[in-house]
Amino acid sequence: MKALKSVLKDHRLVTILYLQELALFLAVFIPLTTWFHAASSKTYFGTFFTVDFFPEILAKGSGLLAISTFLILTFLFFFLLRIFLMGGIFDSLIGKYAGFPHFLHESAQHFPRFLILFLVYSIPLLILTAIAGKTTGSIAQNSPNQAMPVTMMLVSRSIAIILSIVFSFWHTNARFKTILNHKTKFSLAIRGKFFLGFAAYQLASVAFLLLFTWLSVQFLTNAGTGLMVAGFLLMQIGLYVRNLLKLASYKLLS
Amino acid sequence: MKKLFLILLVTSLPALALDYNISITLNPKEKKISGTETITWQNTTDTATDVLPLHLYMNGFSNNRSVFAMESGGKHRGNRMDVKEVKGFGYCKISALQLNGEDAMSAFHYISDLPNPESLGVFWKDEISKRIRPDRTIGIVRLSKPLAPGESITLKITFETKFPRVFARTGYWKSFFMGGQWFPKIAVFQGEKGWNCHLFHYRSEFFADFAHYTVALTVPKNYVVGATGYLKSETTAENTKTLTFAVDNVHDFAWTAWDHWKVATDNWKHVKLFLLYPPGHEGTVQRQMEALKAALSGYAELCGEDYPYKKFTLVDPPMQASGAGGMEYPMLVTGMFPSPLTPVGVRIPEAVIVHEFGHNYFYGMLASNEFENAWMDEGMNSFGTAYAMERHYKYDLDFPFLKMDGFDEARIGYSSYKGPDFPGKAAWEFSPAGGGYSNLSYNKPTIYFRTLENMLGKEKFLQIFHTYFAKYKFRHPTPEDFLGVVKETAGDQAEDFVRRMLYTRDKIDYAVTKAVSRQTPPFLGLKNFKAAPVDKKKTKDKKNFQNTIIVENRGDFQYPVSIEVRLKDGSTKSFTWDGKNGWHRFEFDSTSAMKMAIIDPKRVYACDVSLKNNAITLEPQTGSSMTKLAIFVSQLVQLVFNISSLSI
Ligand SMILES: [Zn+2]
Repeated sequence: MKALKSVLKDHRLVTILYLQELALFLAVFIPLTTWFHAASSKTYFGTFFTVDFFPEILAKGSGLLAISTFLILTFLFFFLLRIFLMGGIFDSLIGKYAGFPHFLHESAQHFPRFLILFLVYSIPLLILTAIAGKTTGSIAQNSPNQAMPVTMMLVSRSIAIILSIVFSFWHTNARFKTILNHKTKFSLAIRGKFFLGFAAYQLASVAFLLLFTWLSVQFLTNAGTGLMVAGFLLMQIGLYVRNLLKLASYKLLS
Repeated sequence: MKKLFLILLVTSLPALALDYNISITLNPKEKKISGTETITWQNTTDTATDVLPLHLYMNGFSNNRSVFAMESGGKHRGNRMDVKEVKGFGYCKISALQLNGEDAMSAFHYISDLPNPESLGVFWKDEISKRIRPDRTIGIVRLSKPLAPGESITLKITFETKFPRVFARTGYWKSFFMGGQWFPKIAVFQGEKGWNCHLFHYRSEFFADFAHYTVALTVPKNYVVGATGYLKSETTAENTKTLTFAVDNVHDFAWTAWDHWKVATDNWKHVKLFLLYPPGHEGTVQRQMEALKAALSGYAELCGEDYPYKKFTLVDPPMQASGAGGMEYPMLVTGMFPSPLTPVGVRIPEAVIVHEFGHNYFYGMLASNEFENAWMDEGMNSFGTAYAMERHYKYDLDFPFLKMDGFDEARIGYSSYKGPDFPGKAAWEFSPAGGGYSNLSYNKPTIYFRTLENMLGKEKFLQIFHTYFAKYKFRHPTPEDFLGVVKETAGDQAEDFVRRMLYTRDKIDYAVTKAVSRQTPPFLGLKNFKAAPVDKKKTKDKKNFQNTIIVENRGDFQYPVSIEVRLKDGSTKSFTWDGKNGWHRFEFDSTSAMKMAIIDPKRVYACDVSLKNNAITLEPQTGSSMTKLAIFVSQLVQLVFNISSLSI
């Protein structure tokens, strides 16, 4: 709880992370909504919003290709930006937040090392997750029981979550060590007590995110127009708390 | 009453001129069946013949050079041919043949072993290119003397069929077997027109004569079997059991055997329903049975008569054998349930069941030539599917935020097709690019028949299908037979519409190209050659609007259409246009501004290729739906970003 309280006290770090998520939202939302309205509000779809909207507006010409290229590029940019911001975040978690210019300076300073750390830890994570997926997939493939794919999907997702928490633990330790030593450092240690606390915060953060996403989807897909804003807010609250808990897990290891 | 009708039906049919008596043993280890087949065939035409062509469809899977393998590239509906191991291939080999009791093996040849197979005239000359070899999907028996009209002949064949790893309808997966097109099958003799026998093509399905079948299947004792026909006897030996099925008036025989099958039963009127499903699908049984009953009632309404056989078997194959799914045979079809988690609002499994059952009408009883006229089975049946699904469920995709019925699906598919083909072609004549075969054989007839239904009214429309079924059931109807019924029942325009749907690219596309509503400007200038007084306070007449609408017919059919205008005060105004001369202008005054103008508001022309241009909206109503969709997509991106940056 101490870690959580400490992060709550210095909530500006959470706010920075959340603002990045919001920026991602706006980067997708603004062009998308502008395009939908411009392309269809004067047509048939301005009065009847039917399923034909998808082929006639979205998939017209190179529409789909343009959207996917745009989404992939945006995604890539925000991914790199996240790694960049983490330099400032980790620096602040060791000491304390000392203003945005300092934050940016630290981010820039640690970026190349953090990028290396990210690649070093995420590539084996991806490979192991893929192996787990393949193995559970082949068990499902060989069973006549058609419930097996469902069971195996749950098993494979659980393995993926455990693996990513373990790798995240190492990754986080390595990032602290790297900052303290001003040199790229790796870590493969599991310190029992810290690991359990870290895992608890991480799991709570993911659970919180999924719950609020689900609630948001309920509002967006079932409730009328009036509750559209509520659906949006729920998701954003989920993201904010998710980042809060995530930072608390990191703080625990600082 | 119904029973009496069934008896009448059976007794009124001509005596069957074809009889199959087959006895086979399944060897699950080797993935083979072997046994004997006795075919008794009578020449009921007035033309003699000196050859007997046999379909050996399984040989389409015997190598990667067959017509089927070359045309498909070894893929069928997303499933791949297993070419890595010899085990993955299949074949049907004839090892002995007797004609009327005398050995005639020397008179038998696989078509690609004959020096000039085109000269036999059993398949179309342009059906294959010379480079495709060897294809053994047809076997030819040469008779020493022609078989005269009215004469019969008996072929006794010893054969072995090795199943391929299932990817296209038939084959095995581990101990699961789906037996479709597994035995030598005689082609259809059409008298003067000769034999109707085609190679096994990627796109095409099958064509055969109605027959009496007796099939004895010997399988390991612990296997569960489902098959066409009625179970007549079951005997057991030490490790095996023999099930004998028999039935009259079907033109194919399929079976499945697996040691893991679970069985559910139910009834619909006089029909005993069997569902064979894999373990783990217990939770889907109710959905599958409901869909099957929806199909039985839906098609009975569409065709005017109940399914006449007393038994029906639905096979729900395991996903590992998904290539076996979604296929029709008489009295037995395979469905497809991708996962026990498939949401209730996603009625794809239901639609597949309804569709495959429907083939028992459009293919099973109305046995059109599937090689040459795919639209007669797939097209009419896809309409039937959408009809029966709408009748029972309303929607195929049913979520509060997204609803789609089978007609929407068909229109969207058809509208996406921009190629040069039309439905009235043989299966292999469609350009392989651009989705022509599926969009034209399935989707175009579906949405054009819906349009015809809207134009004629349901009663008259159903009369077409009732007449067609009553007249041609248990026969081989041709496109002209169907067009004849349309003309006779619904008149020349209806017939012209269906004919153009089949043989041209003519389409329907009505559009509103202009809709303006402006306040009537004050009168300026001279009135009776004198300056008119200008009311300075009232520059515009706020209570009166001048409205102009321009509509266009961008399609090829000149049918009358209605136009509806909605005004801000909630009132509506309607116009009609004969659809001629390309375009038309409507002008009218109103006391409230126009909100939108729509052409064909009731969607009579369901096959209209673009809905977007069917209206002009002056006051958008659906802005929040679009915003919601944008929020939804953006949040989805946020979620994916968050999950994928889990360990950062
Ligand atoms: Zn079909």
